[in-house]
Amino acid sequence: MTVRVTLDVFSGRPIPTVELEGNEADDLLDRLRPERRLQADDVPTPPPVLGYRGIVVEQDERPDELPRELRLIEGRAIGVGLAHAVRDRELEDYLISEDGPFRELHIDVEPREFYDRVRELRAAYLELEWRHKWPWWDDVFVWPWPRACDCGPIYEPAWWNAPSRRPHNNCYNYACNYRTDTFAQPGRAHSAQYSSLTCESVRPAALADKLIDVPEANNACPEEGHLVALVVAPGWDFHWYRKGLDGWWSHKPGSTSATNLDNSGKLIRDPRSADRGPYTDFCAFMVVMHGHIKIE
Amino acid sequence: MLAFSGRPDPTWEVSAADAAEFVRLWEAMEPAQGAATRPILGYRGVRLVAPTSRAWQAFGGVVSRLDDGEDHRSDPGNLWEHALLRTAPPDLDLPGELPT
Repeated sequence: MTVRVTLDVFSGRPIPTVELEGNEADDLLDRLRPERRLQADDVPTPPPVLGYRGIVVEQDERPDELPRELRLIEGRAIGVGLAHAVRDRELEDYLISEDGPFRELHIDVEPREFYDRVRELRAAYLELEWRHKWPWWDDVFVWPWPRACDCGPIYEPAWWNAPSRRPHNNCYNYACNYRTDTFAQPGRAHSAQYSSLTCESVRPAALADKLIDVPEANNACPEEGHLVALVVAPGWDFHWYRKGLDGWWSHKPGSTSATNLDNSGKLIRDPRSADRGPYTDFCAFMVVMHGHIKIE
Repeated sequence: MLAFSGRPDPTWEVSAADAAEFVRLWEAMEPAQGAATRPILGYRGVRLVAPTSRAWQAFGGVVSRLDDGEDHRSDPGNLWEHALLRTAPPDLDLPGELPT
């Protein structure tokens, strides 16, 4: 029996693959046998596009319990019809160690450096998985806890994410807490729509809609209305956040679902320091006075 | 294309012949174990929607059928995704460069 083992970790350089036979192949398959079926909250986070994606094991003469191809990642074997914790939880440590099956490969870097890099990428995956499962963790022990904003809107994503509303209302609708079903554009309701995708153009368009500029806001709750924030991906797009009743920020990226997480999967204390992806320019804090604005 | 937050995402029509080819290519792809993690803000991939409501979404080396449970196929090198993006008409208002 031949078992092919692939370390699915690199993007640019060749992906290391070895073929095992005889006792070494039998031993590997034995250590991979299912110990218990995974529960819903055990299923791994989808691996990142770049980075550590686990170890792929392929075989032709498959034993009954294992599919032809499976992916081993953090002690869990995933394949067609398979989602199990494996019998030997230390198997992955062994496979990416200097004593593992990739020891025979000719690698163009020092083995120590190679394995250190793989372990680093694996640790990054673990952190990614941790953040997916417990996105609030880093914020639980934050001090001071954000002050509640008495006039802030309640974070209720389910209302905005209903199929009848989600595709037709964007970040501007959500930030203003104003459903139009028109994918509202700053300034459009007052024939003053922005002319370019810059802070200098989008900000006055929002002022035309009667949002109020508050340059001194510094992330503090206003006495009336609620705080919003405008950011821009220069030449590409604009985006808005809103500060809620609980003092945390949330947003609705375009036609996708409203969320209280940033691009790093963290809760948003301050949009100026959040991971905003391509929206690199922070433009302004503004206040939305309920019943005073008009957008479309 | 799924990319924007404030502006509407750009959409365009794909010819029936091209669409059929994309479906044929997808059917020939190897299964993948799940969709790639998409960012909350920024480019999130490209979606092909048929008049019959069948739909496929491509991002990060995986093309997923959206209307039929979880059916993910591997798209090494993002070739399917980039080919679909290249069907966009040249006069489409796409600020910046396509991520190809």
